[in-house]
Amino acid sequence: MPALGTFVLLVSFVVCAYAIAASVAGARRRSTRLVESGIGAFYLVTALMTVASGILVHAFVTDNFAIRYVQRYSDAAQPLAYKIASYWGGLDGSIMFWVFLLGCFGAAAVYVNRERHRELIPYVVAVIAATEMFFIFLMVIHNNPFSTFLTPTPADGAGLNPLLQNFYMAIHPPALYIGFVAMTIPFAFGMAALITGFLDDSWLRAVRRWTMVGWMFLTFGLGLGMLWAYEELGWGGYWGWDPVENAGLLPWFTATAFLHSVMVQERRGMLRVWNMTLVILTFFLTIFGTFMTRSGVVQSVHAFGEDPQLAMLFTIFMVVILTFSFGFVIYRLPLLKARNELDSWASREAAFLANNWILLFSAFFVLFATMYPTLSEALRGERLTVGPSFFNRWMLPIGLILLLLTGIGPLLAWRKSTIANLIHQFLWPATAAVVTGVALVAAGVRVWASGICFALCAWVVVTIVQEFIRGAGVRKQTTGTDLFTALVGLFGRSRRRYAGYIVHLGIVVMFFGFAGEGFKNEAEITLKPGQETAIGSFIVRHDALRVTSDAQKQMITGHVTVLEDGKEIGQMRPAKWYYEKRVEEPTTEVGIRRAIGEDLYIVLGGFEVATQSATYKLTVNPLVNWVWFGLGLMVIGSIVSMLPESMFAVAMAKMPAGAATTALLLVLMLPGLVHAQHIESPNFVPAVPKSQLEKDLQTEIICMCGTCGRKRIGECTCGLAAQMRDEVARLVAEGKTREQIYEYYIAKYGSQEPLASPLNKGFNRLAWLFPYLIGGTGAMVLGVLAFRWSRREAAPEEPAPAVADDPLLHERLDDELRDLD
Amino acid sequence: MSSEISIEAKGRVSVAAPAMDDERVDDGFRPWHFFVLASILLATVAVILARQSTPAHLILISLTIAAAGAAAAAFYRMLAPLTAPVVVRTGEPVSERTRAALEREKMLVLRTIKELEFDRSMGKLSQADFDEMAGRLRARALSLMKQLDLDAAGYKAAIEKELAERVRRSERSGGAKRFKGSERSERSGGSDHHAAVCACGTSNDPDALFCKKCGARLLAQGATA
Repeated sequence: MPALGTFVLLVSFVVCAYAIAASVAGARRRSTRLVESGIGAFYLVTALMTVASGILVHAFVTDNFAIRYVQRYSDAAQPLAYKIASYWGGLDGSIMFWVFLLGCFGAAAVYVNRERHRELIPYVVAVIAATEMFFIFLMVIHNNPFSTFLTPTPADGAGLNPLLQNFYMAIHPPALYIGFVAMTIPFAFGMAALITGFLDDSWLRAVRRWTMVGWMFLTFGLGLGMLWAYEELGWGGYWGWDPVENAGLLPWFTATAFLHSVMVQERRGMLRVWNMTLVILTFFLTIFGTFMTRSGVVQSVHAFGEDPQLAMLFTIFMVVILTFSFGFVIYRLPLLKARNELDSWASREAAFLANNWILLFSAFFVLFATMYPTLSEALRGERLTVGPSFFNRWMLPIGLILLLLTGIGPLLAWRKSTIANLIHQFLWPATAAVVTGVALVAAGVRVWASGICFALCAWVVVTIVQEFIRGAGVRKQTTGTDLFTALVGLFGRSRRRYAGYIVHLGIVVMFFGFAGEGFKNEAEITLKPGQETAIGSFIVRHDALRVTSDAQKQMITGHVTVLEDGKEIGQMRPAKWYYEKRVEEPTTEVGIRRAIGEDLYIVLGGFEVATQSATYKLTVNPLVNWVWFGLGLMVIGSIVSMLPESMFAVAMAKMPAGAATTALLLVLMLPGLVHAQHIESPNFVPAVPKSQLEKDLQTEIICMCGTCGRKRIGECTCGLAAQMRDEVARLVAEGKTREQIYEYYIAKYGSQEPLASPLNKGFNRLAWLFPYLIGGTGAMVLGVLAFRWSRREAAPEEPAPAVADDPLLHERLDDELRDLD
Repeated sequence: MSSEISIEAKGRVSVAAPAMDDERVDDGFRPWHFFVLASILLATVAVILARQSTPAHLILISLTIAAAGAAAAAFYRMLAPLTAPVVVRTGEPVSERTRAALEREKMLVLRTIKELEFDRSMGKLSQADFDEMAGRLRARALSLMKQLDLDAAGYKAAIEKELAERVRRSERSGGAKRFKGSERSERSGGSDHHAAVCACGTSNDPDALFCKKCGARLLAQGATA
């Protein structure tokens, strides 16, 4: 079987080469025979990769430990679902899975578009096949998943990393990979358009659709990744700015920017070079993300380990992509020239420009901060950490600006809005934002970031609601139907626009959830059986500690009863699982009690079997479920935007889009604040709140155990982190200042590595200055361009096309306009 | 067990198979049918011979063999075009592309006008701005429509030319008479003596095989035509 697998890989490599050669030669010589044959070869690669995947999965299911890859990532006791998931659990298999998915998507894209874009297809095939070829090449020479042991076959496998044995982990990578892979299709179409020179807007449509598909899966994949982190890593949060998470976020930013700026091209024919650049960048970032996670250039929870040779191959491939694609852009610049003009700053075009600037800034900032430790090591030999605190400092205001723009853009008209229009449009949203802000201040909310976020959420929600209501009102007038039919009609008429609003609503709901982070309440406490403690409005009682085991692992489970207002509301079972194959890496099974307002999140941090005592990390996470809900809305919105028009009337009638808004507004009115309780009970142990300094330090110092991927000590569940937490508590108790504690750790480890973000001194000042630099430069370039474009408008207008005043023609135009309704 | 899996295998291949269809009419046994049958057969044999027989295992074997069948079909799809007659794609000159581009642009302009109207009714746009912009757009739309009309005239000429070419070709081959006959019958308003008259007295088209009223076979006339 392994030999067969390797053979299939070799054959697909050859077929890939043939597909490229036949397509390009066919296109150059205008030979339909060769082009068709190339398409056939392209399908063949997909079929062959399916066979290879079948063989590998078969090897996993039948426990064929003769194959190294199977031995390393599976064992006999693993449940079937995880055996199949092991296929993409390691480096070699994930590359193969990548090619398989790319094959499926590529084949589907070629099949769907082979008639409509006949002139582009040969090059589309060639570009996708070239990408596949690179990955197959990797497998053939470097990471063959079918390589076998030279020594006698081991009796059992090492088992999949326990952290990955989780439901979300089984579906999160495929979703993310699909998102990544789907971004290759727009790139292929863009390149084909550049190569053939057919740069009218027809290729854009194919590209936009596939970007939408990719964007949806990327969003879905990122969301599942967040859920996985929340449920499995046990640090009470969902986004830690880990390099691998960032790798998925980077193309998401550029794809989002593209989906917005493409509208400017469609409507106004502007930004053609820019859109092409975004398509190329998005694809490049997907490859770069893969490179980052697979070559070991960055350290992370789920990077695959260091591999300089692989890094080298990837670097060559990336340089080739950049040279090749931007070379063609430059070559075709004369064809891409567009008449850019900006009538007014208060126009939707200008809002889109701002949106693109913010999104691109985010992408560059995240890229820079993710790569900074590597950069610093390469330049100065000092390994640093750029942790969440650094990211959050920048991404928080950026996120808020983005949210603000979400509420502004849709209200502006194309080309130009006057002051009267602006007042008319912004009156209600602005009022809503101000009222929410004042109400929050009056209610005593003093977390400024969350407060502003809530106000902005109200702003955007009112914007969207206003758009729907006014739009439906206008439609009701013109068509004379009832309000609801008019609302559905809005979707039928401009589906993309209103589906886009649903996505925006999803963003708002998600930000609403993010804002809850500001009210997070944490405590850590050791309890003996029968003792209880309070966190937020909950009382948590430790009943017992149980030790059980199954074929794979030993499980230590804390039995916890949760009470609210004196009534028992549920049992929770936080646990630690020690897999026999990997005892040194216990997994944390978090106990989560979900509710729409707040989650109670319990982690079993430590235990003592002899005394049955357990140390719990208790967290109350307000509004966290809104994040998942928002993600769901975003995915639904993007599905709606892709539905074929015919399906629409039926589909929309069943889904009033306003329902979510109402629910959101209702919850906005619920008090989300946490109040402390006083309980008279002999067994009550108060969880001592940490001082602010200690809390801060727990997020500013990272765990140095080397296996957790640089988590903050407040989040890591390993033993060393617990020691470091105690150490920090001791230092704080001794009255040391923040700087002194920093210095203590720098002296202890010999570098700034234990600090979550580099000190703003010396070379590292670059890390702090750079974001200003790129942001400022970007804003300046944008300003200069916009200024030039608006100046051009002042220049004499091109002579208006001379049209004979033919009343018949005018009548026909009016008829056609009426038909569009 | 095996029959279930065969069905599954069949399902897989038939999904992959349409990749090879062309504009040809489906007539009887086609190459991909062979691959479907072969993979069903192989899957059945493999399932019978398999040593381990957990359901997951058997399904996996069948799916893999189905994929192999698809691969064989794709291999055929790769080689077949090389021996196929050269298809000259006519009817896609540059003019059609520009025409399509014009159509698209017109659509875009029309939609933009609609959007402007909508924005104005929603109060995002002042009347003065609307008039100015919509006026510009309308002028653009009108000029596009004119251009398209002109282009359409050119298109008609192309169709005429193509028609004449076909008539000439069919004249050269055997079917010339019938074609000319029908053309003449149209010109003379349908009362041509070539028209096939049924026994029931109904006059039918000259190339009709059956009477359009009573449904009787128009044998004699069919033969003469």
